[in-house]
Amino acid sequence: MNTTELTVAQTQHSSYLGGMNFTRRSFLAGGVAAAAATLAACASPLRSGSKSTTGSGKLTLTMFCFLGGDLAKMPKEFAQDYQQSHPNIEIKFYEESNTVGYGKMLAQRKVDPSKPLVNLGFFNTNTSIQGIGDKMWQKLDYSSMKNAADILPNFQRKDQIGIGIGSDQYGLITNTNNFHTAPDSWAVLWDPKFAGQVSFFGFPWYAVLVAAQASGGSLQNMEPGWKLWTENAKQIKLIVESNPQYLNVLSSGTAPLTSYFAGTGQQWINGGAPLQYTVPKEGAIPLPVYLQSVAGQSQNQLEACQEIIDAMLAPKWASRWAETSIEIPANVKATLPHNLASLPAFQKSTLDGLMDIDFDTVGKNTAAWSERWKSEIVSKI
Amino acid sequence: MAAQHLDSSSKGLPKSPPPGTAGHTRNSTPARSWVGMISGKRTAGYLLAAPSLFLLLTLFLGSLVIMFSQSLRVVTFGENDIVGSWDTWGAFLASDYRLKAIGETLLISAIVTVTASIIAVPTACALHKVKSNIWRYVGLFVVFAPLMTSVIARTYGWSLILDDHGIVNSTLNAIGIPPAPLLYARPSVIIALVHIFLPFLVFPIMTSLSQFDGALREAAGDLGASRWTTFRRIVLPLITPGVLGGAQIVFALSMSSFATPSLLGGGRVSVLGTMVYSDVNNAQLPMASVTSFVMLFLALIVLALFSMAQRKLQFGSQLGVTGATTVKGVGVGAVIWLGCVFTFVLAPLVIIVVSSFSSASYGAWPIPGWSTKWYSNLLTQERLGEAVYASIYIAVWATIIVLIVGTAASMAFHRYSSRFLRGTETFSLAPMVVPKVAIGLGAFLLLHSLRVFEGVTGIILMHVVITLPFVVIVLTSALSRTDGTLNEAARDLGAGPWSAFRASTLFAIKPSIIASALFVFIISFDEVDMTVFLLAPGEQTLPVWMFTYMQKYQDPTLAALATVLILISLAIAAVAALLILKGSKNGTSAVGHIID
Repeated sequence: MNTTELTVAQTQHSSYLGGMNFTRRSFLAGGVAAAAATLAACASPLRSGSKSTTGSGKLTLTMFCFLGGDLAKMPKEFAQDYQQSHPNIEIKFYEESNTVGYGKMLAQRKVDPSKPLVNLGFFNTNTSIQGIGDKMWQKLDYSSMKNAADILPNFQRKDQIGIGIGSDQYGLITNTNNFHTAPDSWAVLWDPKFAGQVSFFGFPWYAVLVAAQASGGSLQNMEPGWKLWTENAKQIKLIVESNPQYLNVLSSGTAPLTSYFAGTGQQWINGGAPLQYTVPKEGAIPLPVYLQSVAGQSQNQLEACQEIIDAMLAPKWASRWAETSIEIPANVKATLPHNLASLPAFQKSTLDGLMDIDFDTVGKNTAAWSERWKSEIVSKI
Repeated sequence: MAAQHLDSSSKGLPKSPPPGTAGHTRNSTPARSWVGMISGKRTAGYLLAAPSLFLLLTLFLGSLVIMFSQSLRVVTFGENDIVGSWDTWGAFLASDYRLKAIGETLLISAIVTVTASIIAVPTACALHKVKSNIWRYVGLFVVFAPLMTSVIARTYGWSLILDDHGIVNSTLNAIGIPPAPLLYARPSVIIALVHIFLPFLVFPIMTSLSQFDGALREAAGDLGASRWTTFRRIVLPLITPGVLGGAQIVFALSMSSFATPSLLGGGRVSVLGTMVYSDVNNAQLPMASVTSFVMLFLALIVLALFSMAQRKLQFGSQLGVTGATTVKGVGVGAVIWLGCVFTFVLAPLVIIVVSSFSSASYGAWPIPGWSTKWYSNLLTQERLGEAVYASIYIAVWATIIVLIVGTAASMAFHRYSSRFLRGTETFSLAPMVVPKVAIGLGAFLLLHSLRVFEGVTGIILMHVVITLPFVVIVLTSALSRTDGTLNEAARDLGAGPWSAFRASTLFAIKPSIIASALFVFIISFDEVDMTVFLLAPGEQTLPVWMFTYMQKYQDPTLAALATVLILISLAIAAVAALLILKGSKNGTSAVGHIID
């Protein structure tokens, strides 16, 4: 189209408009205007759950729960039940991974510590320890919690910052097509026979720990572990960054050997993936899940949070948590669901052999260890 | 070459036409002094750029300032942060691992940009010459198709293709070539990035070609030039602004990408983007901030070089002279080339579609049986409809706003020359290169500190900020190919500024505005890394819903969703194609102008 044609075309359009005829342009412009008007008229499409009180005067609390498998089932069932018996309380949920969710909680705390993003929730051990360092949590009062006395001692903290409800564990997960006989030792991870077959998710501090222990070290002396992995970095086929990717590389046999959560592994096995979970003879590594109340709330909110945490520790809910998360229940009075009783992760020998981990040491060193893992090990895979 | 004079002024003066032109006549009236005209024109330029500048200074720069203050902190477990320290910067510079990542980031970005350009130029030229409008439109849709799937789904497709026992290596093995280690290494990252970023190059080049005067090619042929010489000396220089515009986008996006290097690099590809993401997840905000600033600094240098090159190579009046269209028709070579490109683009998507019908809940391949249960599962998902609505709401608003402010800014950057506006132009590209996760964190801190725009408005405005560079790049590139004398002529014929702009410039850049709108809508609709920080607990957009689902379940439901999205896009594209083809017959369709 040349300049003259262009001008003619424009003039024609103008004349159509002048005659009030609907041209395609006017139709499109009208459509855009109508869409904008409609959008402007529409209420915000986002549904938030962060206000502390609703219009009805209820106390609204936001509970953080894990993103993964059925981990939000028990909290939601509990909330439904609790709200029926406590009509003045409304519980909303923030379902997110600990890493992303905690990052936002920390950012909010830096902005305004008196307006925490969530009021209470489920947090893994690493995040709980990180939160202690960041002064994120409110101390609980075990003495005024009727279920606290039934919680196993290793799920209680001396400083009463949070309390455990259950525990997952790290063990070995292997592809059954590649490993007809399940390995029974952490040493399989650095066994040259399986070079280039290992995968890990992100930074596996526990892999460095077991390597350190196998070489005479400990959590306080991880150097032998670092040395062993530096020398055997080629064992690692890849580092994965998402659960779908992890499941795919394990089940396809691309990287058929790893160490990961028993609960997640069992979920994959239940879904039909050709995988098996085994407990190493040196012992599995426990990963307690803590219930935490977040600092900076009003007294009303803190009291309500503590009461809710106590209620969730009751045998009924601790047992339900164990069932849905595939974890060991922390309450001695909780019954282990039948479908879990026969699994390797729940055998008495497994529970007796769980390693004793000083998670405060892990939490304090995670950032530095993570940097070292990337620079010294991952750079050599 | 007609009207090269249009772009010669860049010494702080407005780009004025030479003596003897209509523009010169009007500007030389005694009533308006040069000084007044200059300051008036500059004021117009500043006013046009003002809305974009306001958003950049308040939201983006505000986020950067907060991130910078974070970079001056030192976090020690169990102790209060040390404030006002450069130690984190020192730690970055002392880390071999992070310094190597700078080289890796630049290397991968450069390889991806060059490779994508080499593929995009012949692809765009071949598509441009396809005779049938319908097939040309289908070709464009195919090139765009990867943008309609999630990175997780695409990654899965590529892992099956590039694995040691995957389709590529099995084929190589069958013809006696030893398998190549493609997956979980640099090659797979580069292949996947080229795959996803190819549309960002093909579209700008096609808009360049749509503004190309077909008579030039004819004239070259008449003067004895071979097809290669014509391409090299006539076509290539004239489409260079489009190539540079697309290359700028691809380079910047490659620099800030993290999902693909994370998922397909298998840990072997350490780039700055993956480090920022990892630092944020480990609550190491100071190091995340420092790494983001290093990326921003490097990218601004590269983008400024791109902008300089674009200014030097821009030509005017490509629309004008005869307005003849290119003679259509593709040879066998072009057909084979397009077949190869389409195979490359569609291969991972075919795997996604097939996987969505798998009877297995995990990534078994070949699929053990056929089932539609994941589609049924999709229908039972809570809050999926709400998430879709939220995404559309945000993307539509962001697109409308960014097109208005971005077009105005692009006009200012193109028409009015000053150091300030040049600086603003380069700065407007910066949101494209800072990792979105870092922008999200900075914006979260900013908006919650100021207690403004805490909600959907803040999310829409931040989407405007991060998509503004795409509009500026595509439109300034398009404007560099327009004939400024048309606007002046319209003014001389009595048209007001708006009418003159609408009749000449807006008409000429309409294809690029539509291309920008498509890019912006898709980017906004698919945005997750930044949005996840800006959503309040309980709120979800579609990509965040998908991200959430992926963390919970690893079954093929997301592959089913990706397939549904592709089908919906296909349906919309088909309806649009009918309208466009109808419009192109009347000579009034803007996208028809691209595909013509």
